Amino acid sequence: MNPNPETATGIAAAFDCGEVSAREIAVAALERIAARNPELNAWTTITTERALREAEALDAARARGERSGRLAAVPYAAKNLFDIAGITTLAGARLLARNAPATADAPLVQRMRNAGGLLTGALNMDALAYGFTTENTHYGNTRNPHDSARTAGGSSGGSSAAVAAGLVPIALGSDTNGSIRVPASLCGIFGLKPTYGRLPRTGSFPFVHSLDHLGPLAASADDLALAYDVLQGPDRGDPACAQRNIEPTSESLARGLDGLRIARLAGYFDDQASAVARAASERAARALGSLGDVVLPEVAAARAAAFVITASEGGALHMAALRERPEDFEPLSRERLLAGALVPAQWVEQAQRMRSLFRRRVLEAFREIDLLIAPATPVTATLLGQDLIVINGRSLPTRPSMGLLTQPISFIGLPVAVAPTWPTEGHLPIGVQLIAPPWREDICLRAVWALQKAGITVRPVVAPTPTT
Amino acid sequence: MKRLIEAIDLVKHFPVGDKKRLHAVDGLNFHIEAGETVGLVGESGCGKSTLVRLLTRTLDLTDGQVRFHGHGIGLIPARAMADHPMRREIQMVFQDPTDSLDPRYTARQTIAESARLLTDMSGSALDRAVEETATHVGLPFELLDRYPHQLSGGQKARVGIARAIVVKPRLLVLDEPTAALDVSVQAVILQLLDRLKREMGMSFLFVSHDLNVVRLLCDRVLVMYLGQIVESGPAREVFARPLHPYTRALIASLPGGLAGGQTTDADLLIGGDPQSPIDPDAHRCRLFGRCPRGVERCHTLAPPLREISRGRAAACHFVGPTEREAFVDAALAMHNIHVDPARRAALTSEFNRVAEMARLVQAARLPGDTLPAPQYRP
Repeated sequence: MNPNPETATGIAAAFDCGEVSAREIAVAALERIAARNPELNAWTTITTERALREAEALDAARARGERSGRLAAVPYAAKNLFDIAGITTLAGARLLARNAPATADAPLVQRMRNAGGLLTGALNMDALAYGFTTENTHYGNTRNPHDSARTAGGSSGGSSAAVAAGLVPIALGSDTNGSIRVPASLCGIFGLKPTYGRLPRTGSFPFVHSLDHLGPLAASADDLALAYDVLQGPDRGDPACAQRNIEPTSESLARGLDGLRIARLAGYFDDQASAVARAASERAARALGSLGDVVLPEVAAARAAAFVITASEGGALHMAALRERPEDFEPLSRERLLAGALVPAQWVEQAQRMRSLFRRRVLEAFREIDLLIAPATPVTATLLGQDLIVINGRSLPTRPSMGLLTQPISFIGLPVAVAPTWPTEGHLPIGVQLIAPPWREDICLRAVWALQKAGITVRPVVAPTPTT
Repeated sequence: MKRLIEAIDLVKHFPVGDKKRLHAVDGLNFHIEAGETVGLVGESGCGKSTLVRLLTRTLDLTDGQVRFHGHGIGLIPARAMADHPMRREIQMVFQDPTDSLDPRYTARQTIAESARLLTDMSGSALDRAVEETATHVGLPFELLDRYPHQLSGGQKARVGIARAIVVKPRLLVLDEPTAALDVSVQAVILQLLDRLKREMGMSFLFVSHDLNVVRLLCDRVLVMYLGQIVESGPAREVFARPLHPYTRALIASLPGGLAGGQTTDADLLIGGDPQSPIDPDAHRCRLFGRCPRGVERCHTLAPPLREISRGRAAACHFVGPTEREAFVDAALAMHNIHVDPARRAALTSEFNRVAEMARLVQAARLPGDTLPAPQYRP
């Protein structure tokens, strides 16, 4: 038996039928990580002992004839803003490095463990989640497994690199303005940002309370749905958590597109996308049988409002430290945070008003449509240290602009899944967003599964050049 | 901190015949605090040397006041200064150590003579003071009995400094202290001055056209142009973010130029001659004609030196915080946050980005905005 099945569903099935022990799987995963991590810099902490302990407990339980969980023996890792018992929650920031280790796992980590997951460690990110490139001055840059000169995206860049390199099939991430979707797009993997308020953020380090989401990144559509199902459930520790009961999605994936009305987002989402990104959304739209294009009003202003709220709330959270320990902040975002902390209240109020108006208009569009398609990033992965990107002849700063297409969607809390596509040119993937009305993660995941089934998400095999 | 010396509306005009007057120093206001090191920079002919002579009271004022520790000393006639008790308080180190040392005196005699004239020390106390001072400036005792022609440039510079500090002045004025020295010796003397500054607690005024000297040694900088101060402020801030077009041009011309790629074409002065210092037009900016930004207003209304932000002043119509910068400064002060001057430009640019986003939000029109807006009647 291959102890390296590529997907979580494959690993859980292999363990369940006794083909392989959890310990064998854990050891193989830890060896893979030890071999690749020095180059990728995806893990900031590797929890070898814990993974082995969890694996041995699973093997013992199986020997006693106990039923195994849905993620039994599946290695995973969590962005280092999740509390993991016994290690310090860094949130990518040296500012937090001297904090005491977490005393308990975050609820989402507990749920992964209860389902049989093997925690391999904590993953790198942009400091305090403020960035889209996982360029981290204090903990190093995470590299894209498809091209080590390029970024893995961010801020959940450790999570996307870990999955894209085949080291773990599932990773946990967070998404405030695109921090799951951008790295998933740039690394060619699957990701889900659920509806705002769906998954509890208890035990995770906050960035912008009113915009923060947690969610999974995964190697396949099935793994993504499985991880999401395991993560669901109410938790009183997060006041914004909607306390809804689990609404399973895995079983409905095979329903496919049955009856879904699908459209492609045009206008802003074309204007802010390079040709490669537009082609990806068009290809996905064709594969899913899109009814046509939809143009939403004032998307640029919605994105701008998300920017203002992010800056203001994110900055205000760290006001005291900005005053007392500025030298401990990430230089790439320190002044951005400080500028945000000084934003006048009227700008923020106006942005919040924009949020409710924009949400109402987009929900109107969802009366006619069940799913909207858009590119996930304006361009494919940029080079580490690259300051500018060019979109339709305009030069834009890389770090804030990578979120141009994700930011307006998370701003109003809609559930979005990202599916990878592989352009015909070049060696780099780019993702598409599949956007549904609130609480309909099942629709996003069915669409992702349909794209996977249609072969869109698979890297095309390059035909050898015919010799003449 | 306490003001050690203060110039108030200080003026020195020299008659040049035909009832014309050369405005060497034209209405200066500044001060030096106790223990502070201030740099005075500007090209030759800008009035630096005249200003030094007014402060050391070796030249009579045309108008204005000089106050030392709160006492007016501006009316002491220059010729009476030699015997005045004030003379001990303000000492000079001259540019050229060869010119300024008497060839007939040994180093020991030069240092002792200064102490004998200005203090009541004598005998063994005087000998002790001379040797202590020699140790302080790093002058080996075996050199003390040599004459100037037997000393190197750097050694002569040390004698010149020792002569000035042996009387323990409260203000030491250094006129181009390294200009006459070899480059290799300059660095050593700068290190010596930096050490003295930290050890002695007196105030220093460095007069120099070498901006690097000022950058290395000074807490605060005054920039002079044609008899007036055009910019003043903490040295680190002025070098990181110069405000006045003349200062910007001076710093842009250094190797490395302006920090953070701030240099633009507007930072290069237009060629051409400076205005004449003889009876200059009081209503015209002194830089007009050389300044790339000159407009009608600069020709008809000379910009006064005014405070731009805390501790910083500049004399230019175009300088001044934009409303946003002023807001950021006020907000930083309110939250008691200090920003490294080198990062201030980055903060401004980030704040401008958020402001631009806020502007986009304000400009947006979403039909169906049913949130009630207040109605006002005139």
